[in-house]
Amino acid sequence: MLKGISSFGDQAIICDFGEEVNQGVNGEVIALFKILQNKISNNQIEGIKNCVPSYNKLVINFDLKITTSKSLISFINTLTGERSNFNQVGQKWNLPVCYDEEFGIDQLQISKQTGISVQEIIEMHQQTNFYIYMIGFMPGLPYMGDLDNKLHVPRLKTPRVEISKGSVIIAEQFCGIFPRNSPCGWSIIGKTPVVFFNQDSANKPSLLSPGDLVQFYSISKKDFENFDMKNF
Amino acid sequence: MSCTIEILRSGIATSFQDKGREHVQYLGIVESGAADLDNYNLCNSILQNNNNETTIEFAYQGPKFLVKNHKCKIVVTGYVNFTITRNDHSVIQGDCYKTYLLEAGDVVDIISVTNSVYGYLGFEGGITVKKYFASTSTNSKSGIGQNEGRKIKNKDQFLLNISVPTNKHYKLKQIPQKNSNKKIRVLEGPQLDYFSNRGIDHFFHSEFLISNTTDKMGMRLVGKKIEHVKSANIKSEGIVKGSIQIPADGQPIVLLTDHQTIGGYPKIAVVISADYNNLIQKPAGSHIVFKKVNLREAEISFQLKQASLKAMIESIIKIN
Repeated sequence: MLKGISSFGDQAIICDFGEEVNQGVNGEVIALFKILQNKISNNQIEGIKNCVPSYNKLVINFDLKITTSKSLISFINTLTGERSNFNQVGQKWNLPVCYDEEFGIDQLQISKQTGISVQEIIEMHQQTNFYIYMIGFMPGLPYMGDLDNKLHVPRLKTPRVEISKGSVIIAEQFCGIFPRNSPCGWSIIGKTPVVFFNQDSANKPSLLSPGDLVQFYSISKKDFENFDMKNF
Repeated sequence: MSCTIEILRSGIATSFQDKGREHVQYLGIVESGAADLDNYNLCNSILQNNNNETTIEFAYQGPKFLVKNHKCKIVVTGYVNFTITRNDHSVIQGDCYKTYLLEAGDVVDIISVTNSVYGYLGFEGGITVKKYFASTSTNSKSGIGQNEGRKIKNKDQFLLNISVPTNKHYKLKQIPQKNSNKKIRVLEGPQLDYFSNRGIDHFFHSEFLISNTTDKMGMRLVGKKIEHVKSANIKSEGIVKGSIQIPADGQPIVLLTDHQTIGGYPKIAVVISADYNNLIQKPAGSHIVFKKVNLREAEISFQLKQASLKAMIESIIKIN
């Protein structure tokens, strides 16, 4: 439920959907996000520069030369009907992961922390139907949930200075995939050969979008090496 | 063929920038764009360019470049020292906010900024740079922009959009005054309740030093510790430039133009748009204080700021 809308600086507003993080709450965030995206592309609303959905919030950045937080807040309050009728399921993806120990360098540590065998961890990861709450931190990086309670591990005490592109990572109830090399404080469970972000693809630079559904399947190291994005 | 520019010395954080990117932040793509949008706008206005033409942004020290062939017309904006060495070896000291015609063999050396951070170099007709998501802005951290988003480096060459500059020259009559006011106005942030009364008091009533670890993503401040009463983490959410986050160590970070799309630290305040340029131009080692205002004051200040920029642009005059 949309609990309230408040100004955030003088050129943004923040729509608050409550404290909880779950797929139902995020579904409402995404619904408002998609309705607004649609209105922006049909020129039904002016002055919005960026809409950023997250777990339980939608931040809307606008140009104060064109509109104000007051008029945007009243505009959003007129969308209640559209929001309740909105029903759109995200795209479904099956993504290959190589769980070879060479890539899944934190599997043993996760096993120690959870008391679950590495084999079982890999199976549980593949059985999870992931939902993409948001994309952020870097271009194309999905924040997905929810992992089984038994698989929750805290973030690393000291983040790694760099992990490689394609690393599949977990922390708490979430799973992510790094589209490029970067520092990271999550545990690495495997690696995917899929390319998640390409700035040369103007129409679809990010493979995944907020609200999409993801399931992983295991591939061998050989399949990983021979993987060709063209056939994906 | 168009005029070619060769970089002899890149300078610091030298990169192509325009107004930045819209409608792509939900994919994790940073807004980017010129840090000091006023000086960016003045740069294009003085050159009579389109208002979203690409400029070269630099921090502290600018590039030194050679005009390889043909002619071009430039302007430098900001508080910047630069020289032009003509192809006959004569040297002139450049003035900011004024156009100069350059010929093949001329070398421009943008030596330094004075008591500020960012400066802009623009070319009449603009620079030929590939657009990504409707913008040429470079974001090197996430690899967005031409050349996989890398900054400009020594020996780089680029082309200009036009090969024959016009014979008209312009300058800005009403030069922007450097704002030495250390007071930065802010609005309350969305997580003010995450901080102790003492922490809030420290934030609004003590002075902060701008650390030399500051970059275009974030300005790190050093001052009295701002205590949390709740957690020092929130569920990550969208952020805007000017947001002031307080991580666990209690030292504020002001998110700047290249901030990431989402952030997980509580935000005590947000810098008002009218004061953002003043803040971003303050070099490391400067001291600032924050003053709380309300949304109405922030909006009025924004309108006043826009009006003064408009007046400056209207003061551009033709010179011989």
